[in-house]
Amino acid sequence: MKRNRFSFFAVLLIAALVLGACGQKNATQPPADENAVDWSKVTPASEIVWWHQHTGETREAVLKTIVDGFNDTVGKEHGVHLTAEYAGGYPDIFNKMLAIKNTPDVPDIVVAYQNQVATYQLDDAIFDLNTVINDPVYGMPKEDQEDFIDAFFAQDVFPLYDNQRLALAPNRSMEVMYYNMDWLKEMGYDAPPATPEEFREMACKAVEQPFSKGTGEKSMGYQLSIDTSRFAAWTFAFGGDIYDKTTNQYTLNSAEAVAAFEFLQGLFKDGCATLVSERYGDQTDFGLGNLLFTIGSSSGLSFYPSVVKEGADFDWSVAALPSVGTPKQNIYGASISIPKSTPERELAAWLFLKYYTQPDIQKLWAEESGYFPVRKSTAAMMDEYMADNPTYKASWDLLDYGYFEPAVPGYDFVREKINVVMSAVVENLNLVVKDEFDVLNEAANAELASQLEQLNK
Amino acid sequence: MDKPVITSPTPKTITRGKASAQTIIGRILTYVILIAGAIVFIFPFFWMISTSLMTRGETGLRVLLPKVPQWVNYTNAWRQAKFSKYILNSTLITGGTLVGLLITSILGGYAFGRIDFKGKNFLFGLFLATMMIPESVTLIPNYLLIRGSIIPLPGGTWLNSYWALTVPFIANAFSIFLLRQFFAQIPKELWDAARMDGADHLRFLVQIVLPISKAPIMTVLLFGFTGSWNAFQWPLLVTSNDKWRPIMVGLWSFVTEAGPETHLLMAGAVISLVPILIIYFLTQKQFTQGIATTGLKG
Amino acid sequence: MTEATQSVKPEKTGTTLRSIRTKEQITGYLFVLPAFIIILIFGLFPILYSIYMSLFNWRVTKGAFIGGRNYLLIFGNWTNLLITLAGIALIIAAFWVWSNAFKSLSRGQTFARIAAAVVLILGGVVFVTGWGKMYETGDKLFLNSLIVTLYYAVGTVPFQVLLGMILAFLLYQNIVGKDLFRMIYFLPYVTPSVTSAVVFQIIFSRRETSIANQIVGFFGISPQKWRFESTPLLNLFGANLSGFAAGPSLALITIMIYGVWTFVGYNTVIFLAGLGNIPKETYEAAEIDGASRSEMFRHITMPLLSPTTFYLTLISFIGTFKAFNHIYVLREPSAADSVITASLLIFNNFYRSNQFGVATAQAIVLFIVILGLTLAQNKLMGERVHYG
Repeated sequence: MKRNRFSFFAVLLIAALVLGACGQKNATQPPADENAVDWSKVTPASEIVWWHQHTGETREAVLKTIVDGFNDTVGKEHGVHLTAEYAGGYPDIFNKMLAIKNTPDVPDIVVAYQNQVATYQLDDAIFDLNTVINDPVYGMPKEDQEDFIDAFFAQDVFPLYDNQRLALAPNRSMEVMYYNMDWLKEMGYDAPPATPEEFREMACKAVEQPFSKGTGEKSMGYQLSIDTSRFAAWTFAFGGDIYDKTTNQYTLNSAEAVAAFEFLQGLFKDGCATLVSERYGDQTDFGLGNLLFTIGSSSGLSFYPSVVKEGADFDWSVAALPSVGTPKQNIYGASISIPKSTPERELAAWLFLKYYTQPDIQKLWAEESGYFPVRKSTAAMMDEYMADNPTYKASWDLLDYGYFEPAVPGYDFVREKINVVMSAVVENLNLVVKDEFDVLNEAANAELASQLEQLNK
Repeated sequence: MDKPVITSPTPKTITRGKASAQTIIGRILTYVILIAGAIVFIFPFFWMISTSLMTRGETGLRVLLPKVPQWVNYTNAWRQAKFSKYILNSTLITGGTLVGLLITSILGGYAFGRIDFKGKNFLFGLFLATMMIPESVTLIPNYLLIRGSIIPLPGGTWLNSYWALTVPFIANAFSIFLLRQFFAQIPKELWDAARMDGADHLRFLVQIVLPISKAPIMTVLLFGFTGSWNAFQWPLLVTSNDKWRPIMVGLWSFVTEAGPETHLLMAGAVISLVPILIIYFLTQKQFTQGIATTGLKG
Repeated sequence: MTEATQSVKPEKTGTTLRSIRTKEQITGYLFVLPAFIIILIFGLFPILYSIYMSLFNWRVTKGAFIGGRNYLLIFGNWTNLLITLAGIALIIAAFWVWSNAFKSLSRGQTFARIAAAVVLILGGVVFVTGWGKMYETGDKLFLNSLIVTLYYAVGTVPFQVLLGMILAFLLYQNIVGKDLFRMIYFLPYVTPSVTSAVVFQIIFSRRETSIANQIVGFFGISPQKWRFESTPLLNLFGANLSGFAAGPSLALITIMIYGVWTFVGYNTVIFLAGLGNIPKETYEAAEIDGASRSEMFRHITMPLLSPTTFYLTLISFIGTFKAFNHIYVLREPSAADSVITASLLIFNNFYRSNQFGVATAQAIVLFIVILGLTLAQNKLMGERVHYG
């Protein structure tokens, strides 16, 4: 009968449409279109894994507290269980990730430096937090987002990738200048140098006037350790930058970088500065009272006390690098990212990211690890700790002047090149800094271009 | 070699007299060289032990000896590096690897050294060729293999498993090469005699060759042990949890971001060296116990 | 794995002999099989995979198939490579001419020598031309790294092997404390490089008061920068050479010392095993026949030790050509490119720049270089090895 045939086809059609629609809902969402994910419909995965690089008893104990805390509260609430695993140092984790990115074997949470994330993202392998951070159900409230220290919150947004937010910072460190306060007083100064000229004056005077508690070995003003973080720190201190975010080009030969290293060359020429001669040699000489200034990471704050105490035992502290104008401190640190996998795993991972960066957890983490917390409200909670650790407070006060190294793929390769040129200009004082840096900058930009080629495939 | 053995006593005595003076000078020289060399060679080891007994502050101060030996560093290092757990892992891993290594090297070394089969030289060259590629580029393909992405593995993936840490190392071209050199030197007469007695290659290998090849086999054992025990890069790559981690990875926990806790690191390194030295003594004892006769007279 | 015992009866017909030979072949293959499987999978596969990777425009993501383009980056163009290979071929031909040519003629050897010399010089010229062209248009950094690698190998292997041999002889005799000495010389090999490198950094520190500087000061030499010194050695003594002829830098030499120090113990242990393998009776028989110590050394010890010497030389070259760890831990940026061996460069390209295609191509080229050198060594030395 015609009507039967019609209804039959209608049913068939409706069935087809319904099945088609159902089928589409069950198919895995194409990763690129994450905006379409309705997080309220997603159940977080029940088991997730976090790859980190933290070692040592104290760190591991704190991590355990944090992970257990998560599992007992937020985790329990959403049926998520987190396991934290030591997966090697940063390079080891990086190598493993390169081999397994965009496969189901990826960890759910991974630590990574910004340039490592930039490399992963060449293959579109990291989950964009922007897709969930403002979600009505699982997102992070606006007040919390604004409670992050602005510079830290901004550091994990990648202009290179259309401003995707590819990580969240759980901690930070920065380059600081360590100085021997007692020695400065002996030389007649009452404050650390604020400008390069003052730095030079004090460093050169230190060579002439050794520290009274020093060991009698040759005394020195400053030892430069070869590391791109110092290169960046000195360039920032002279008011410049090593990378231009608007043009996405390195500016290693900027006027300020050249000025900074001409300044350093001058120090070397006058015998007021030398190169670090063996690893941590500057720390050693500082502790022995033979070196007035060192520049290095604030994470050294956990080492210096014992070295100084058992060395010449004197009063010391940290300060911003001597700057031209307002100080610009080199701030860095690895963040935690979520590799792309399935929405369920990504959501569960995001729950931990929020937990880890909560103010109270941040207080616990910062106090035990010696890193700086990333939340403004945490800083308010840490009065007691700051009082007990004046050098920590001294560094903390400098965070407002934060500046960063570039977050681009191939940066590790460029760092090697920078290190070579950096040492060359202070080993061979006849080299013209500008010429050397011009060549360096060209090579760096060539490397960047070759890396970014992969984006245009 | 059939010179008549008639010699007049005087020339021999004279030469022997000369030889004594020369020998004494020679021996003094020998000792001087050996002692001087020993100082050079042992210095880093001495420094390692000295540093392992320092306080953290002292390690940063370039002193030669600690003021007060901090024996507690050893207990701390043991605990912090989870040595109790990792030593068991290392023992099982190294033991398993050695068993496999000895089997493949002895059989392979014997075959290449004493059996004539078609394509022998090509195959040997191929084995050797596999050692000519820098490790940087073999790490990732081997990782993919262990992950199970290249060929199907029993159990799916071998990551974090005992097999990942042992199987790739149970055959090694250098060990086969070494045994090949030694096995090839065994006199043909021995093999002919054994064949007359009805033995085949396997029986000859086990009953005659092995007992007189203690030195090279102990050498393979020693270096196989050292290589497996000291392995670090590969275990770190293929394990992400503690289940099968060996002690070298535990040692790494003393190298923190801010810098190494040198005193604990050295203590850990000394602890992990002890088994190697024990094995060294055990294997070298076999060497120096006198060289068995080769049965030539038989 | 048992085989039926069989007795050899030479009178039997060829079929039995053939079946014996077949059985022997099978035994051979079976013995080799376990090692073969493992080495095939974990040794050969990575090489094949690396070749695979090198044929693609592979950085972090796998790109398009580009065939030999990554290799071309090294050589500049294929002509350059052909010229260089032709040079090498001519040099090899020279050796052949030396030993085989003009055999039938009288004064044949003189002709052969002259001819060989001519071919050698020609080969050298062609090779240098090819190399120069590659240098102009190809990858300077990689080619330089090959030279640095060669320096490192030539600067360590002879010393490692020689010192190992000498020590083995000294320690083979009846010395008081022999076992203790043997262990001490073995220690550097088993000391983890994380510790021994630190000690070397201190000994060879550029400070004026470092141990190394005090020692050279004793000889009237001014304090050196050691690991930080990128100037080639000869130039330090006042010469003004450049390129290949100037030699390795002081930094590289410091690293060489570290390499020799580490591996001498390994060589000593193996030489001791080799020495122990020489039956006492052989010496005793010779002594009865009135042979002197030096004669016994020349005619018994050296030949019977030659398989061990061959082994150690060969694997030491292979080892130093792909050496990585020892150089990596002592490297300073101040030494610039003078300590960048091929394996270090490949590491940088692979793990820092993530240029997988380029790095694997370089690794394959290094592989072929090592293979060629090993074959050459085998030809030159292998025939002089005395087995049993």
